Parts: sequence; C-alpha cells; structure tokens
Amino acid sequence: MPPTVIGIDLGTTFSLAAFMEHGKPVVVRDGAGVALVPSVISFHDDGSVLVGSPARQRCLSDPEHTVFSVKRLMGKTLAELKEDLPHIPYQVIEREVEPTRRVLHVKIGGREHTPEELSALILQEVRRRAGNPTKAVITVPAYFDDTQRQATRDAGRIAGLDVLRIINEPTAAALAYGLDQRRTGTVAVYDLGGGTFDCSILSIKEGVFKVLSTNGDTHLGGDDFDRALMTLVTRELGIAQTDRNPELLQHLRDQAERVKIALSNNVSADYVLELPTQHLSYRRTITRAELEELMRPFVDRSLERCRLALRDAELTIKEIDEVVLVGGSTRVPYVRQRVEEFFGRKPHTELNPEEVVAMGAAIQADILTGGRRHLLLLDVVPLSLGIETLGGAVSKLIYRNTTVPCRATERFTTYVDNQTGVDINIYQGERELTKDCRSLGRFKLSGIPPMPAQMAQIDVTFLIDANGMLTVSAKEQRSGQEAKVTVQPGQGLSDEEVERLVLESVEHAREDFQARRFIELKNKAEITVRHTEKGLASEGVHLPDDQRKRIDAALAWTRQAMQGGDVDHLQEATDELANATLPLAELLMNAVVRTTLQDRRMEEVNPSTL
Amino acid sequence: MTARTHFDVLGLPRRYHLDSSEVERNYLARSRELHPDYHQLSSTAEQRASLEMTAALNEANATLRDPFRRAEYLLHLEGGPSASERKEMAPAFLEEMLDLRMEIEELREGGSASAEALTAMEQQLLARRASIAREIEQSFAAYEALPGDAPARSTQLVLVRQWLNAARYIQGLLRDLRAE
Repeated sequence: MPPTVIGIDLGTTFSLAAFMEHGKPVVVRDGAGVALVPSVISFHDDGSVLVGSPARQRCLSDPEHTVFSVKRLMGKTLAELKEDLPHIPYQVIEREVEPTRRVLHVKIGGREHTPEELSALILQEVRRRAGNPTKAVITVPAYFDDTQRQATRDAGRIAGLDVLRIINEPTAAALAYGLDQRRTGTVAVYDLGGGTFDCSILSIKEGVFKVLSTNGDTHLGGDDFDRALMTLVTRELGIAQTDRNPELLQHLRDQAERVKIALSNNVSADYVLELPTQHLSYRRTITRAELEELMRPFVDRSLERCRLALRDAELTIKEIDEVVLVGGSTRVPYVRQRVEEFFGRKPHTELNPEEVVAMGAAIQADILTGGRRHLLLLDVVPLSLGIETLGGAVSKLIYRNTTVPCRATERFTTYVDNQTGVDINIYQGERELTKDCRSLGRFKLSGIPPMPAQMAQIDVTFLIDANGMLTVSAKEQRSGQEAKVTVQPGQGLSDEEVERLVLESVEHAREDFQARRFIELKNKAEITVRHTEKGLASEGVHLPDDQRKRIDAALAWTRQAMQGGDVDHLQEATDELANATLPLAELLMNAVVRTTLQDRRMEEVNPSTL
Repeated sequence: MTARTHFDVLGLPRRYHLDSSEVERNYLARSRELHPDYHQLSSTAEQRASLEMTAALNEANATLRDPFRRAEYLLHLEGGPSASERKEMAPAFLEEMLDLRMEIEELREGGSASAEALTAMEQQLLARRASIAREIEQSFAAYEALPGDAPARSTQLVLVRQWLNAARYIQGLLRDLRAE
C-alpha cells in the first residue's frame, strides 16, 4: 500500500522522499533503485514537461529550455540574484504585480513560470513516485527566512500537497541519526548541499531534540565549487562568463561537476570541452590539490559559520560530542578533512548524506500524524525579526535562535485624530538598518476605532509558529476590538494566486473544488464538535457562564451549517466555534499537564517503579 | 487566564534562585504535553491553544533559564526600578570598565590584535559577567530574606538594578569586541 504521508527533501540539485514503514524511515526508490530525482525541469515545444533524469539529460542539448537550481530563486528578488544570473543559462525576469510586490519568473519558450510553480513540478514528480500521497513534511535549509519558507509551502500546495510542516534540513538529519540509539549529548550538524549551507547545534536528551543555535548561508554549496572551476577554465580560455552563451555555459557546468566528482576518488582528472559549433576544443588536467585550493575559501566560510553557531550556543568545540555530515557536498574528501580538523573528531557518515534529510522528514511526518510520541523536535528561528522605526532603523522583537513557536507583542498608537490604520514594516536579519535586512513585507492594521491621536493602544502580536513562519495579529486595548491585519508581501505569490494555481493544477481541475472544500471543512467541523462535546463534559463546569453560552451557540450554528452545502457559511460557523472554544481548549491543556505531572510524581514515590 | 507569571507557567516557585535542572525538567515535561507537534490532529481551538501555550512556555523558559533575564523579569514583577528609571552603576565598577574599554581599544587599534589576545579579553569579560550574576544572586537572596514591609527591601532592588546595568555594559563591550 502506498504511504499517505511522506517527508520530502526539496534540494537545489536533487530531491527525494521517504516514508515510515514498520517504524523505520524508508527512502522512495524507482525500479532501478535510484532515490535521487534531479531537481531539473525541461520544457518542450509540444507543450510537454519532463522532470528529473530525462530533463537533466536535456541540459546539454537544450540549455535554454532546461531549468535547474530553482531553489536558489525561491523567495528572492532579481536584485538579490545579481551574482547568480551570469551562471544561469535560462532567462529570469521580474514583474511588478502590485506597486510593492515583485514576482520572479523564469521565461522559457514564451511562457513564464514562477519559482513556486517550478518547485511544484519537482514536488509533483517526487510525490508521484511515492504513489501520490496527499500529506507531506517538506524540508528547507535552517537558514531560510520567512519569505523562502512561504515560497516552499506555496510550492507544496500547488503540487496538491497538504504541507503538514516545513522543517529544517539539519534538524531532520539529526532526527534520522538519533532514531536508533537513545543518544544523549550535544551534536553539531554540518550540512553542505548543492546550493546552501547550514550548521546547527543540538542537544539531545530523552528523545527531545532541542536546537541550541543555527547559522548558515543560503548561498554556499557544491554549486560554488563548480563555479570556481568554471571561472578557472573561462579565464584560461579568455571568455567572459557574462556573454550569454547558454550552450557553452551548460557544457562548462557539466564538465566542472564531472571533474569535481572524479577528483573525490582520483588525484587528477581531465576537463574536456569539445564544441565544434563554437570552434572550441579544450582539454586540461586538474589536480585534486588545485581543486582544493579553489574550494578553500568556501570551506573557510562554512567553518566560520560553525564558529558563530557554537558561540551562539555558548559552547566550545570540546563540548560537542558528535558531528554529523549531511548533503552531497560532504562527500568531497577535502570537506570531510576540514570538518574533522575543525571539530577535532571524526564525523558520522553511516547514513547516506543525500538521503538522511528525507528520512528525518518522514520521521517528523510520523510524529505529526500521531505515530510516535517519544520524540520531540524543538527548533529555533534562524534570523532575528524586527520592525522599522524612525530613520530606517530596525527594532528587534524576536532574536535569532529563539525556540519556536515564539511570540512578541509591541504596542503601537495613532498619530492623528481618528486614524483607523497603521502600517508596520517587518524585517528579518541581524543588522541595525532596514537597508541591510530582508523585508518581509508591510503589515497594514485597519479597523482601529476612531479616537483622538495617541489614545489608541494597539497591541500587535508577532507569532512565529513551529514552521518558523510569521503571523501577525492586533488588538486595540481600549475598545478590546480586534484590528484587521493585511499582509502585503514584498515578493512572491499572494494567497489568491496560490489558490488559483491549486485550482488550475491538473488533478484538481477534474473535481468540483467547492464540493471538495465543503467535505474537508465538514470533516474538520465534525472533529471539532466531537472534541468540544468531550471537553465540555470534563472541564465545562469550570467555564464562566458567558463563555459556556457562546460555545453552545457556536455548536448549534456549526451543526446547522454542516447540514447545508454553503462553504462560506460553514467556514464562518467553524471560525466562531474555534474562537468560542479557545478558553475551553486552554482549560483542557492545563488539565492534561496537571494530570501527567501528577502521574509522574506518583511514579516517583511508587516503590514498585524504583 | 490572567497574569500567569513565567514561574506559574513552568510550575516553579517565584524566587531568584532556581535549580537549572529543575527548570529544564519542568520545561521539557510541559513541552511534551503542549507542543503543536502532538496536536496536529486536534480541533482548531486546541491547535491554537497549543500554539499559544507553547509560545508562552518557550518564553518562560528562555526568561527563567538565563540569570540576567530572570533577574530583569523578577525585578519588574517585584516593582523594582527599570533601566530607564535608574541608570547608575557602582562608581568602582565604572572605573574598572573605563580601564577595560581602553585596553579593548588598544587591542583593536593595533590592527594586529592577535586572536589569542581577543579570546583572552572575551574570556575576561565573560568571567566578569559571571561574577556579576553572583552579585545579583546575593542581592536577591538578601531581598527575599527581608520581611515584606522592610524598607531595606527597595535598597536591595536598586542594587540588583545597578548590577543589571553593569551586566548590560559588559554585554555592550562583548558586542564591540566581537564586531569585526
């Protein structure tokens, strides 16, 4: 039976999935035993689209219609990609959708595709190979910011997946490693992939994986080794890489990658370019020592990130008990050697560094769907979050390496009489000025009751959930009125656009979308009604009268709406039920905590368990 | 649910001295019940409660685990002066810091500041910060030993404030030192 829920590692160069079987993570493989799906897509004149190995084979023959390394584009603006563009043979453009929002597009044969849609094509292929499950946990580099996480989740939705959680790659890897043994100790994860680098420090104790700190660079990976080789060759050939010559560029890349891999096992390898159409014939022997010299600055950079992660964790190298290597680029002997020297111990390499992240994601998917409760992941937010204050300065509200979910509340007021809205600009990053941080967009508060200037007290709560993603809510304190918060992201797709793409995707076109939504909502409502009734039976007596009445009314409304067929009506009713039952849910949670802790205390004094 | 303190959230006594292993034990035990990972299949309200309560739990843990944040928080709960109300530091401490600041500037100006010298200075600052944590602990202990209406209590809180200001000052020096 195919799995209903999977973990997906959506990589820069490769993607793959894993699922749980008999309590163990199993990687999805094709008939030939291959797990890795190249993150490459090719578009053809007849309208067909290929994903994975067949697309990769087209890279050389048809570079302008082949897209790779889409992950580097996720959640980015064109300006941020300045360094990448000379290395990319396909065309990337940017469109201003609204005055403040830009959306990237890859232009191929007259058609335009957003990075989210392209990633969705890869996810769909991975999903298809796993037997079309509907639920997934998708991994991202720990150092991905809110925008990049958002783009990844949108890609999952467009691929027809219910994205249960976005989790961090190094954390997933630690989870996969810690599964068999009941390890206790401090672990450093060094994760060097195709395009991104992460270092996370975790403490593991009794099944709780707590991330102490994370650091990284979303623009550092094996791709950089290839590019350094390409630069060496083009310099010798006297070619400027800025010349837009897709065919040459693709051959340069292909050879660089081949030579890099060959040098992992040999001391020298030949870089060969034969392009008769361009009157180009080139052959050069590259030694391992030469390549290592090219890689040195990149590896130095990664180790500097490790040093910063250690400092944030307030640990010294000696206090690290284990080091885990993750990502295809850690197969390079030079990388292994440098990591070993840095940490002063031999890193773990028992699990396949290219498969371990997907395995961890499968375990997390299992936890989320109720499969196992002895494991718990406590992750952190990688970058500080702040708001713009006067003069373009950033006032930090949530600091990096804070355990998620976390929140911060800030009070705002109005500057003119009867002002009903306030704009808040939100930034992510460590620097002091907005121009040096990444904008997450503008949050518009509206619906503030009119009153004299400075009178309104609007408490704005910034909540980062377990996905590392931000939601903002606001309440005016004097009136107790909820203010409306609208997000205007600076880049990427809007909710409506994602919704439309989900609708357009082949799979859903056949279904009546409204009917499907109603059924989903009804199922959800049934669960909520059942939970509420159960909760009322056990803790209802502790509720104040008015809260009890509100719940009863919302229950009746929801039951009635479930009988009809109106999606919006049911949505309204269930929203009200959710709001009404919040105090009850808190009572229930507290009751659970009380009982468990009491049980534990009983166990402690019970001589039979001693 | 009104005015649950971080101490309430973690099931700990409201006082400065805490057993750090107990803080962690209580934190993990509550995380195991409340965390959103275990409530993914629950009703919307339960998911939201789980999210909110875990965020509160994480905040309580982050605050009480750290000796300086815990002091700042408890000082606030006890109605002690805020950093903007009382900015002063002990004069002897200030003198000591002026000397240290000169040393740091010399280290950095030389340009050739060796990594060892910088690390040594960092260690020195961290050690000084740790000794301030002990001063804070003593001031709180003295405060807590006094009867609730003793006028000397507020003196102890002012002392805590001064030491917290000192800790902030050292934090600033550390930041300057680490900035490349």
